[in-house]
Amino acid sequence: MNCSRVQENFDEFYNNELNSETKDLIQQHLDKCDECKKEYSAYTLLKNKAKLLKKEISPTTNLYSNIEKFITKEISTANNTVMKNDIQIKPLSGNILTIDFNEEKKPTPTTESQSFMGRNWYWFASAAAIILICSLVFSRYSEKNIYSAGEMSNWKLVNLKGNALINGVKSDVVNVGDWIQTDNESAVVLKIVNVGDISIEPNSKVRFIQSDDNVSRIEVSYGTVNTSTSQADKFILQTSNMKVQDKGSSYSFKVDDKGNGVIYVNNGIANIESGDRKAVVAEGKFCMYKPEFGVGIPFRKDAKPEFQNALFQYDFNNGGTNAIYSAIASAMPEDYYSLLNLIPRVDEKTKYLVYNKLGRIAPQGVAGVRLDSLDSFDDENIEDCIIKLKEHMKVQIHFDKDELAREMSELSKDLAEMKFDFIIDQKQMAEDLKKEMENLRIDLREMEKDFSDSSFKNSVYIKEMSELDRIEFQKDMEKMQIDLKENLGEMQENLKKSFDGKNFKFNFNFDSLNINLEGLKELEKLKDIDWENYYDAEELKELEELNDYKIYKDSSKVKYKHYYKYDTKDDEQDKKEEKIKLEKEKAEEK
Amino acid sequence: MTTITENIANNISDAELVTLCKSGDTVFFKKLYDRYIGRVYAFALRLSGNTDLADDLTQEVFIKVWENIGSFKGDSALYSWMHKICVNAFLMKLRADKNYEKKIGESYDEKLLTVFSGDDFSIDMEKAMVKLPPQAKMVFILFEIENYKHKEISEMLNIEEGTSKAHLHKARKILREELVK
Repeated sequence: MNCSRVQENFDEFYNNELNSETKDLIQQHLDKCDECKKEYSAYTLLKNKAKLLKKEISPTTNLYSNIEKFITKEISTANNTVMKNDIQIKPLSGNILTIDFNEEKKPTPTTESQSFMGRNWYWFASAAAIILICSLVFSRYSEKNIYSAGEMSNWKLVNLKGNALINGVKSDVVNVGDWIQTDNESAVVLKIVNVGDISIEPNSKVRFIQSDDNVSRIEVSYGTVNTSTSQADKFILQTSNMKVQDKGSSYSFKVDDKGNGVIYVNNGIANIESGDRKAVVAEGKFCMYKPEFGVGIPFRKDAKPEFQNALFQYDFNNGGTNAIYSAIASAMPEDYYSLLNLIPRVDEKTKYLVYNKLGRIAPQGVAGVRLDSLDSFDDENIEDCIIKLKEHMKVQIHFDKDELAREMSELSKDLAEMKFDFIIDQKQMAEDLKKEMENLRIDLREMEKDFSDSSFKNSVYIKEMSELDRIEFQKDMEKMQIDLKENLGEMQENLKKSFDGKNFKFNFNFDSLNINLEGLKELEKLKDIDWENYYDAEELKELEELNDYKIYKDSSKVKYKHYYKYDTKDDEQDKKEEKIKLEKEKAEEK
Repeated sequence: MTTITENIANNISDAELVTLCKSGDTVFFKKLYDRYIGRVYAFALRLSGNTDLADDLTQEVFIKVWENIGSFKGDSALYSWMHKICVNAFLMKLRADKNYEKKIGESYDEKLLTVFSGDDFSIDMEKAMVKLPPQAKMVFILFEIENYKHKEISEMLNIEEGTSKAHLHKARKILREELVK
């Protein structure tokens, strides 16, 4: 083999594309010929250099904006009714679209594309038609920004795979109120203009309900729906007896044919309402729903099993106080949002216990929640807290799509079969509760330390807690102690009953659970502090503005006392006025 | 926030993406753009040797893709099809504007260095490539960087396979000389 033949074949030799015979010949030549050897090493050097070059380079300027301008212009100048593919689209009314495929003009897809588009061609074409007409309609109405039923449609349906059925039949027309049904092989995306996308997964039945208040609603009969919305309060997902509203978020929702539902919030906050029960689900949390009980308390999937079980028993199995105490005892800092959701649901004494637990596990204390406002603490407060604490609460779980689907299916199955086992380790529970109580004591001690500290003036408590509050707090604590004692007695009875006393011996030592109120006694001493030394006139004014109290000097004792600004004096005045008014009315009637 | 459409678009194949683009949905077209902008731009930048010309060329390629996506038959890879569009747009520019080739030769700018931003080795190579005549440059990039075979290149550029080989040989020769300098 001569030099030029060898050099001609460098590429094939390098890429190992030659038969072994030629390859050997070239190799032998290279071994002998210095010139070719040199050429080949130069060849490989260049080759290696070329390999190192970047395959992808990002442009320094945003090139898409110009491209986008061009393509949007092209869409808007397109003919209003005729698509490239000769599909005639006629809007019958604002919300109904029919697509006539002109059989004669129908484009025959080439053999290559037919195999790809296959039987889905009609769907793709109809999706195209719907998209086109929607974009045209919107470009016309965008100035008005008002979408009302009958006048226009603000939603479009894109069939992504398979064939969804409309009211049980294959159809190219979808009206508001029609049931869209997917089988195991079909999926649909419902696009709501300016709101977001709702993906209807396989094996689902959903319908779109147009509402007059500019809110898009979908009703899910059964199946899985993933939502992604960018605007608050513009989209509601509902089943026959519950509804989910969000502030612009994305979540997955799965409901079975019996109405058992599971939701996972991927991003943002979703509010769930069912009868009297409400839940505020923050991102990374699951929440379950059972028609006969309503919505449960949101929880995270990696919470302790006993915590999840306790919530489940409380929510769906009449677990009552026992379940709640167990939940409180086993709650971790990450279960903060679950506990927040508990406050509006539980009775007064349990509220304090939850509050106390929250105070200890929260990174920033109990954000903006005052002890005396617990009674009126509702879902709006929960939402506020979640928003306030968002930065401090790290969401650790993020599922990929398949994982999430699996988790949701498992939960949904467990929920349907009531498979959550509530196995209480009574001893453990007694220990946990004891710990809770001890913690309560520690908290009080810390509080006492705060009060006696030299930086006392800046203490949170002094601002947050007036003398009046303290007295109330002490009373509450005493009441709680009694209540808890009583309640634990009841609990013990219940537990004894449930175990017949045969297999399990339950020894509950009440003394160990007594709340130590020594701390509070110390607090009592603070009453004697001369307040004048701590506040000057300006600070007092500031305090007045900060709180709803009136601070005045009790001249007899030379002490400052705090009263609510809207205290009984005003009330009495109001009552008097009302009385006079009523009497007047009566007199007039006569 | 990523919408579901975007999520879907992120996970679907080129063929499905093309079909959805054919439906006229610009969201999917944006996905197609995002998926290929890096490769198309790198190709355009090497062909034109100038960031401004590359910007123009890239925009033209994507507009052509949008206009002609209905006729894309799927018998070749989407990326090869885009390459072909880019090559054609580049050749058209060469034909339409007699000064275009001159612009490529003389317009090697400093901006280019920051865009390529590789090791010295790569920068030298990129600099040397600017010196190649258009045809040789196209063949070299397609063969050595984009890994096409001579047969594919000959179809793309509408030339004989032998011509493609000759261009490559010429390109290598020039590059070796340039790199020694």
